Amino acid sequence: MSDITLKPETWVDAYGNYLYNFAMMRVYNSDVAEDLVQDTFYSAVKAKASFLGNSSEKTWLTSILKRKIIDHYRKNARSKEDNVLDNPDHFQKEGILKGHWEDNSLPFDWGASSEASAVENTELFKVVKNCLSKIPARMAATFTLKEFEDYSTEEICKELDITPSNLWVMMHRTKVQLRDCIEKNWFKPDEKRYS
Amino acid sequence: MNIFKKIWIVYLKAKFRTCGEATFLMAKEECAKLSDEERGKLKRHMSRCKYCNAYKHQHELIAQNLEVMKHNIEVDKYLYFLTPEQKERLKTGIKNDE
Repeated sequence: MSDITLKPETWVDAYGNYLYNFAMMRVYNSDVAEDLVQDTFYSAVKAKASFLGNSSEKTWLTSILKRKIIDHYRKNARSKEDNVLDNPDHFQKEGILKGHWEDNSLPFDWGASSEASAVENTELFKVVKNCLSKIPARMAATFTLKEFEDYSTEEICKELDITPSNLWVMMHRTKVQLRDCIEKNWFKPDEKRYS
Repeated sequence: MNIFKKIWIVYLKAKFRTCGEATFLMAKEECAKLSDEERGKLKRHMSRCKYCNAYKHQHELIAQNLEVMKHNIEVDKYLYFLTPEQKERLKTGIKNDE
């Protein structure tokens, strides 16, 4: 047990917004994010005695929240992946153009002018989040673990109980759906830049 | 789709991977090492297909946007704020847990 005295009564004011934003970046729903922060505080209060003081209070709470988020992914991941692994609708399914982009899914050049504004744009981030919330939970989780947490293939497969080849397929489908959704919600159709 | 685009895509398909395969290989490449053959075919496809290049560029922008948002949180530049009601609920929860 550590000599450091934890003060749970100060956690909400000191770390509440940080933990809430941390969760919101990863679960795409404010109610779920609040529940996860609440669960984190609950687990932290119960585990107070095991806090060794090797890390800061904030880091310790964040590590508990990370675990809660993974548990949330696992709980919400569907037991069967069949529907997740279906062929995407964004590529032509028959004819001489089989396997190529559908006309209404052709990616367009977002343009250099939008580049600087896109990178730091909070509205774009909100569109990304909204789009991820429409993607099946397990697929969105693979993307989030890869892009936000920099998890390795092995770690993602272990946490979500999937095979590497399923992971590649899910990442592919998530990315194709995500960019299509962003393009439809972020840009207006008349802004397409291909002649 | 006009005739020139059709001819172009038929040529691409005959010579290189399809766009579906190319985008799949891009996703796979982030998680695993591609074989020499896969890498070669992806490279050839990308050298010819403006749509898949646009797709790749879009994902680079998305990744950069996420990186900036992630960094913002670490420097306390928050996008979301707990409402007073949410804070109250969390504080009550902690009191009850103790």
